[in-house]
Amino acid sequence: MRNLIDFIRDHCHWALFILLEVIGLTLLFSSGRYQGATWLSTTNTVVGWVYEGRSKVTTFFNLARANEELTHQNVWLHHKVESLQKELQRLGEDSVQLSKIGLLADYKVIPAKVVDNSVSGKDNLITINKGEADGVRKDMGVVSGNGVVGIVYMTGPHYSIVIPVLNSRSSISCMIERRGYFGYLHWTGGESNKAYVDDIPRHAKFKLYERVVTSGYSTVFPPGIPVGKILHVYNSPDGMSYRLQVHLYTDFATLRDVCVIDNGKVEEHIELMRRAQDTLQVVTRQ
Amino acid sequence: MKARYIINIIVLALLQALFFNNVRIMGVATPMIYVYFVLQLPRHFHKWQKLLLCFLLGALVDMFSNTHGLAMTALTAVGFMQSYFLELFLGREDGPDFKPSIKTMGFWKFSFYAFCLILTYCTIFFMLDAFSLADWQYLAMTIGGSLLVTLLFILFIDAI
Repeated sequence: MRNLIDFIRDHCHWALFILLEVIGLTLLFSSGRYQGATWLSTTNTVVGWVYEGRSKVTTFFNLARANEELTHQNVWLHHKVESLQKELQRLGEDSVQLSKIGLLADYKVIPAKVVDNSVSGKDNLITINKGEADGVRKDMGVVSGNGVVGIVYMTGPHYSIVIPVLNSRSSISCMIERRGYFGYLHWTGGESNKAYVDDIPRHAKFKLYERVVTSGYSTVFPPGIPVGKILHVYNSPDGMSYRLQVHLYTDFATLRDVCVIDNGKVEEHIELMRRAQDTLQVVTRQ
Repeated sequence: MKARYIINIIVLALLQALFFNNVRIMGVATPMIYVYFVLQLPRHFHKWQKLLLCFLLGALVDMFSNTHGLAMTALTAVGFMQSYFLELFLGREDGPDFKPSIKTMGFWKFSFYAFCLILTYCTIFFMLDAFSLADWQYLAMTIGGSLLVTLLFILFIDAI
């Protein structure tokens, strides 16, 4: 009996080792890589608080650069407002065009700050300081003053994790501005300012340095949010489409201020329109 | 005594989160200095104590790095092996209070001991992370690069 007790005492660490490994592996493999427990991530309030403290210190040293960027954006926005006002006058009472503008107004934006960010890995993640308490939900789009940033993946009470363009799992629907050819934005690692747009049809006509913007095909991003400009054109591996290398407008290395796009009202709007169409079809058949 | 180890865990996890997670040399090598905690665990600690401390450190690293159990699993495995590895490097005159370091083991012996444990850690960590050998060249470069950078940082920390 004593020998048995001694044996258990001497080998109890084996049982503990197996138990701890099972806990670790279960967390790692339960429901996919990123969907583990939220407390074990940067959406955890204490962890977010630590990163926010660091972020405040580093932001202080980047103020000059941030100011310069804001001035540039301001000038660009002035031009944009003028051209849009002219466009609006030209459109006049075109109800279809005006309803499109009305749809855009339904997007609500939630300003947030980046508290943790990486650009050097293969699957980078961004943590922002807004969570469920501020209205942030999974699958909302995130943009910066310059362009697209990514999509919200996990939310905690006060912090959220965003899968940015610089993540191999990211895929954002976009198109060549004013040309209307659609493709998907992917990143394959390497430089943080270059990504690829796949699936552009072979018959597409476009020029280098033209702008790529979000397509608005999904409700995550409104149409027309800048993504980047075309740098090179390649053939896809199967030769059926083009692959565009784009220079991203968003500078992920110095990213600080972002906006989460709350698409709740838009989804409601689209769902309502879909139901109305279904009802119309039923009435027509009868 | 144990409180000191808990503080060490928090300090190393914070150092990793706030500084070393942002370091990526040549796109492959990241220093993982928290492994230093496992290396310097004294001989007299019970194996179950070592396991629990490593598990706790792993949980903190996972929280700060969004790695969801990856560091937890790898550090617990290395914490389990540390006692067995250490026995291989001990001399007859080394008592139960023996604590591995450059001072107690000498530079080359400690370096080799650290090399073995860090290699084990990096291999488990990055293989679980990739969970595929499809891109084995990148995997080998990540393991090798991170091993060397971590070893250099740990030797530097231990020397000061």
